[in-house]
Amino acid sequence: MLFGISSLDNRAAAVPLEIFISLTGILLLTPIFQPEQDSSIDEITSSKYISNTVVYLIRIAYSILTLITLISIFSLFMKVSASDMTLPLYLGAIVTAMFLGSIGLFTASIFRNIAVSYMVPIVYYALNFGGDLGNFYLFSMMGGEFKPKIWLFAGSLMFIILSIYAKWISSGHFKAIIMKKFHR
Amino acid sequence: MFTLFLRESKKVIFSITFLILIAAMLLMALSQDVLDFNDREIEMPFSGQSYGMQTKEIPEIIMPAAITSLYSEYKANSYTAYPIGFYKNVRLSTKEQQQVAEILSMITEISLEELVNSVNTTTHNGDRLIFENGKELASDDGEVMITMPIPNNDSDTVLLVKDELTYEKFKSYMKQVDKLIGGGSNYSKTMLLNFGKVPITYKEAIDSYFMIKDKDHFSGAYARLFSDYLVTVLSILPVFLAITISLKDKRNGIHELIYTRKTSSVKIILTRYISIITAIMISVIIISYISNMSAWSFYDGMKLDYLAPLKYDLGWILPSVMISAAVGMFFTELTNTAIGVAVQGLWWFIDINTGKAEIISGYSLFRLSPRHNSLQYTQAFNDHFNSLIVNRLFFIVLALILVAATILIYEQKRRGRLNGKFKSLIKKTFANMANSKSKSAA
Repeated sequence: MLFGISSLDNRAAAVPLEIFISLTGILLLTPIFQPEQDSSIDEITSSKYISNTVVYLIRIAYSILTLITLISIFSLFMKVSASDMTLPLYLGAIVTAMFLGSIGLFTASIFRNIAVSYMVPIVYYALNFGGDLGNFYLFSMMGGEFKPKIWLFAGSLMFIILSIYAKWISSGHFKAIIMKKFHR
Repeated sequence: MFTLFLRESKKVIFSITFLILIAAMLLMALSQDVLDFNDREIEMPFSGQSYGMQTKEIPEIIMPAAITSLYSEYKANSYTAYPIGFYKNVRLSTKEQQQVAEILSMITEISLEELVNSVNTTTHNGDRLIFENGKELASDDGEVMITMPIPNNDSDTVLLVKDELTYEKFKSYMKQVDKLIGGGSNYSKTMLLNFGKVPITYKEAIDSYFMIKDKDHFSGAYARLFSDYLVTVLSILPVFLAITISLKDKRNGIHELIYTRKTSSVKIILTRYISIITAIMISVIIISYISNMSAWSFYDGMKLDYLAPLKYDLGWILPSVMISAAVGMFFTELTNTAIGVAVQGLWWFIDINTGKAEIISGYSLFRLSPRHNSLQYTQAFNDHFNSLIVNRLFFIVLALILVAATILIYEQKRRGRLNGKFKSLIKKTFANMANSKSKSAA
C-alpha cells in the first residue's frame, strides 16, 4: 500500500523486503518465551519431563518455518507482479527478518519484560535509518550489497544459541544440576 | 500525591526500559552528529564564495525542467519515484503510457502521434529481448549482449511548452502524472519544487545568516536540529516505558490490591503518566543542553538564547512524548497486553516514512514527528510556525483525551466491570468467526 510491489527493479525490490517484511521477524521470534514469563506457568512447565529447552527449540523451528513461508509467499507475489525478485534477495530478506527477531528473542531471554523484548530490536531497526551500521546494516540490499547478510545470518544464529543458553541457565533443570553437584 | 509521584518515578527511573530509552536517545544523537556540534559553526558568508543551491517556486524554471524530465522518463518508460523516501523505478502499462503521452501532448507542442512514435521500448518477445527497431540483444547461445544506446539527447526534440499553459493547469497535469506513477514521483506536489533549483545569492545567504543570528540567536538553530532528530525516536520509545510501568503491577500480582486502595483512579493514572513524562523530559533537557552547549564557544561575545534548548524540548518534543506514552497507557489498560507497541509502532513507522518528503518545515497537522532537518531555513521555520503550534497543540489535546479515557477504563476495572472483557470480546469474535467458517465448510 505504501510502496507498491509491481515491476520493481532489483534494488527497488529490496525496499519492501528490508523495510517492511523484515519486521515480521520481530513479531514471530520475540514472543517465543512469553508464556514462561509468567512465573506460575514457568514453574509448571519446568516440572514436566520434557525439558523447556526442547520446547523452545521446537517453537523457534516452527517460527522460522512460518517466517520462511511468509517471505516465500510475498516473494512469489513480487515475482508474479513482474518485480526483479532474485534468490539473493529472497535469502537476504529471510536473514534480515531472522536477525531482528533473534535480537528480540535474546532480549526476552534475559529480561522477563515483553515491552523491552520488542523495544530493543525496534531501536536497532530505527538506528539503521540513521546511517550505515557496517556489516550489521539491515538495509544493505537496497544499495546492492549482499555481503552484510552473511554477518546478519551468523549474528542471528549466535543470538538464538545465546537465548537458549540464557534460558537454560535460568531454568529449573540447570538449577537442579548445580544443586546435585553441590550436594555431592 | 507527591509521595505517590516519587514512588512512581522511582519505578520509572529504575526500570530497564528507561535505561534503554536513554541509551537509544544518546545513540541517535551521536549517530546523527547532534550531540556534539564542535565542527558545525554557522559562519557569516563572505562575498564571492559559493552558497549552495536552493529550491524556489519559479514557474518559468520549474515548468520546462519538469516537462523535459517527464519527456525523457516517458521515452524510456522508466519513472523514478520515492513513495516513502526510498528509490523505486516504475514502469507504466501501455494504457498508462498513453495517458502520459496525452498529457505531454497537451502541455507541449509535440503531437500525440509523434510522442507515441518516440518511445524507446525494450519489449519481451518469448525468451528474446528485442529492441524497438528489431535489433536483437540476445545472441543465439543465450548470452545477452548489451550495447550502450547513444545518449538520448532531448535537445533533438525541441520541447516547446504551450503558451496558454498556466502554472496552475501545469500543476494539475503533474498531479495526474504523479497519480499514474503511483505517488512520490518527481512530479508530486513536494518533489516538483526540486525542479526549481537555483543558486543561493550572496544577499540571500547573508539574510539567512542574520535570521539565524537575530531570530534564533544561534542556539535556536542547534536546538531545532537536535529536536528534529530526537523527536523521531521519542515518538515511539515512550510507548515501551508506559507499557512496562502499566504492566508492572500486573506482573508483580499487586494490581488487584491497588484496585482496593482508597487513592482515586485519577490520582493513580495521572501520577503515573506525569512521572513517565517527567523522567523522560528531564533526560531530554539534560542531553539537549549538553548538545547545545557544545556550539556556544563559536559565538563568544554574541547574543545567545540560553533557553532555546528548553523551549524546543517543551514545545517540539514534549507533545510527541505525551502522545506516545498516552497510547501505551491507554491500550495497556484497555487490553492488559502490550498491543500499544503495535499501534504506536505502526503509526510511527508510517509517519517517519511519509515524513521524508517534507524534512524542512514539515509541520502538517497529523505529523507525529515534525521535521526541520537543517541548521538553516529559519525563515521557513518562522513562515510555518503557526502550523507547528497547531500540530503540537493537537497532539497535546489528543494525549490528554487518551489519558482521560485511561482513567475511565481504570476506574471501571476497579469496580470490576471491565476486567478481561475486552480480551474475551476479541476471543469471542475469533471463536464466532471460526465457527461460522467450519459451518460453511460443512
